[in-house]
Amino acid sequence: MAKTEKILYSLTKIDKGRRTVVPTVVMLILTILYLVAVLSVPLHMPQKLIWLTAYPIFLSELCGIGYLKIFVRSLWILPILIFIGIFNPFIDTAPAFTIGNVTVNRGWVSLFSILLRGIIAFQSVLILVSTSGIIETFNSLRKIGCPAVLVTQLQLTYRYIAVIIEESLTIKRACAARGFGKRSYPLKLWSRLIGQLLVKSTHRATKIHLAMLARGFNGVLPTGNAVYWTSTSWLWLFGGIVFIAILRFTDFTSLLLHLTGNFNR
Amino acid sequence: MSHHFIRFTGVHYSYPDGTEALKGVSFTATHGERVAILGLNGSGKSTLLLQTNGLLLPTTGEVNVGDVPVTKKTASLVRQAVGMVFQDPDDMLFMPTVYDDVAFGPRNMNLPEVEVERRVTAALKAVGLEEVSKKAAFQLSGGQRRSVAIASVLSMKPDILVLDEPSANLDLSARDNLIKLLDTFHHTILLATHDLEMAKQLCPRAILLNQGRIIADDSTEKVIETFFSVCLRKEQ
Amino acid sequence: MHMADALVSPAVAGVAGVAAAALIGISSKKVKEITRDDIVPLMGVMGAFIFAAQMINFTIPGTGSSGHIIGGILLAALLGPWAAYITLTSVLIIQCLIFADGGLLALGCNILNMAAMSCLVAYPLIYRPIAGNSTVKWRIALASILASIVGLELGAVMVTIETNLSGITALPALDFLALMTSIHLAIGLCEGVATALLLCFVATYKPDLLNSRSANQADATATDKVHNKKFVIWFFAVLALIFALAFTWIASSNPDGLEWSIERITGNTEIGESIVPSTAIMPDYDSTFAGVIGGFIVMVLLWAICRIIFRKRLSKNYQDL
Repeated sequence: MAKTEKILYSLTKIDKGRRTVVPTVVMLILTILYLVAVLSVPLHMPQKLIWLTAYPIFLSELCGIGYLKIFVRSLWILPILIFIGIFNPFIDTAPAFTIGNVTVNRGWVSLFSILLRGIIAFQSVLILVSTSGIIETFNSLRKIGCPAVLVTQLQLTYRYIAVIIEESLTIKRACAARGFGKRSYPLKLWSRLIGQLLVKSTHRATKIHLAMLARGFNGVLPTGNAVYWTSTSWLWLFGGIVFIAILRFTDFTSLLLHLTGNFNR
Repeated sequence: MSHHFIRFTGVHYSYPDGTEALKGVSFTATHGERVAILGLNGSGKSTLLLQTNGLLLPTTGEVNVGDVPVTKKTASLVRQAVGMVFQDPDDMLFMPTVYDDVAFGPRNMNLPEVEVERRVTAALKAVGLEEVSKKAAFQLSGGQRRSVAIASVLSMKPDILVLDEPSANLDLSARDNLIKLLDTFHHTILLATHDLEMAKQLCPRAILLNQGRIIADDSTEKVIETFFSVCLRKEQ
Repeated sequence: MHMADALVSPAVAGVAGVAAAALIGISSKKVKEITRDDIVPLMGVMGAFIFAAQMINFTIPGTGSSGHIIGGILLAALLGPWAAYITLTSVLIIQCLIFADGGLLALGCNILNMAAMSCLVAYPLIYRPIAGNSTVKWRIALASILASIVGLELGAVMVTIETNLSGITALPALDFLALMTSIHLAIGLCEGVATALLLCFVATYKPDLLNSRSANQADATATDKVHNKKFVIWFFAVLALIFALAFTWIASSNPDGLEWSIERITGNTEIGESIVPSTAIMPDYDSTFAGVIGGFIVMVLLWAICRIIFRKRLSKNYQDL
């Protein structure tokens, strides 16, 4: 499926699949905290990072997504990470440790760290994206003091992506039907297609504006007064913070080495 | 009930680029009357509809909704009385969820949230779509979108309902449901349409517009006859 | 140019986030002052338009590869800088929250790099002085190309600075800068040509889109000219503050890091045996390998346990993720 169709498809599916186990606002806060926890781990300590993987594993299973799906999807980010980190093994050549005869230099360790933290950070955002309701997120953004202009803008953009993509798809198909048969268009033609789309979009904006005025619009989109924070939100938030803090600050590695050491003895 | 009528007196309207869309339109629709507005593309139907609630103001002439002349000052008042359903429901459903869309009008009228909720529930029930209230507009089918668009106007409890091409892009059963729904609305209706069958079923009276002028204002059957003869004359 | 979370440190992300949020605050105030009353739906639809426009690729002449528009200068020319900044910001937020494109913590960086640099720096400093509100084509073309290149290059510089302050890549800052700026010169040129063609199309077929803004914002533009200087000073003051904070942070947490950066900048190109800032702490690598392996095994076990506990929750709805 072409990218355009795919995005349109995923947009129409997007709110159907969501199952909010953890309240959306809490999820947003926890994800940010988790990202801070992950990104504050120094690059030479991948053994600490790997314990933080517990968060996406636990949460994805808790919310019924399944970690495998999240993991596979998160591999998409690898190319960007490699682009940034690939120079490290060749520049930072000081030896870190040896396994048998092979000496691993510090560059490899930091590259591994970059890949790992990139993947788990991306996984946590993926989980946020696939569990929390977008509409709820936008509304709660306004509740926590985001300017109304931006929230309105987010809501409208989100609302009209599908409509305008559909229009662009019509233009694209009309072109394809008349046999250009290419995946991209020469600049001159492209500018005409997109120009049409632009003009069409502004026409639509005018009509939306009329429809708003017809129903008494006075400059600000009204919102209801739904509640986005309940007492269980506090519980989730508290539990989540404790979980993340334990993962970040406990020295599991030495704990584990200690345990296995005792076991061997 | 005096505020339930709508009267056009000698309305002229020219767009900023000089196109004269309406050239002296006069008619009155009284309380409970359903009037179909017929005409070819570009005959001025949509322009006429936009005059009814002050989205466009006449260049000369006057539009009265009830006792109130439609001017810039009275526009917001008039818009509460005249509910307008646009041609493309996507233009009307701009809020994140169906509920918010239907609540948009009442909330702008500064009603208490309890009353808003009551009206939204009633309006959605009237169109038979209570179950979709938490969905986003783009998850609905074309027919459902049209119904929600109508509900978003019904929730304002308008005295006059103005519809632009409500049956466009609807399949047969959705169109039937629409006709049944409009049949239950007991106030004044202005209905601009190309769907002659629908006009016949819903509206006893019709107005035929041609190049910005009313050329027939009679029972729908008779107007449709005139309409055909005008069309045929054009083709010859 | 979307930065991933992995490429920034929490401190850099935090500072960038605060700066981006401050600009959002200012912009939303400015947008409220815009007299044109259909600005709200227009911004919303234009945001959606940018999404759609990014779906249709153009062929980059002479290379056979294809690209798409990013749209900062385009939006600024049609909506004005403040409204454009809000619009592009919302596009970036949606890309992050719906499509997981660009990091969540890195959102502040992404907003600064892409939205602020093009709408709030390149547009007022490059586009407006050259093209203003005119519909003369060569002016529009020249202004769009120059402004797009400058906007993207500034963005690339920002990416370099942010990545280096975060201490992620071992690549010397200047080499990284050279890499980023040369890639973005090409991208900026394409963006500029595409923007120019689009704005010329608008100037021909719907000039009121360019004119009406000037007509409706006549007063705003007049006051803008006075504010313009103030604003530029203000903006760079914020930028300076960001860098000052970031440098202080780097300096306090890792003195060698700062020394290292300065050494790079002053042209001392000798690549030492350890130039990664983090090595200054003299890390202990003894338990790295064992720790990674042990952790990995525990995580697999955890996954298995989670699967057993939460088996019933697994839903088919997520098939499309």
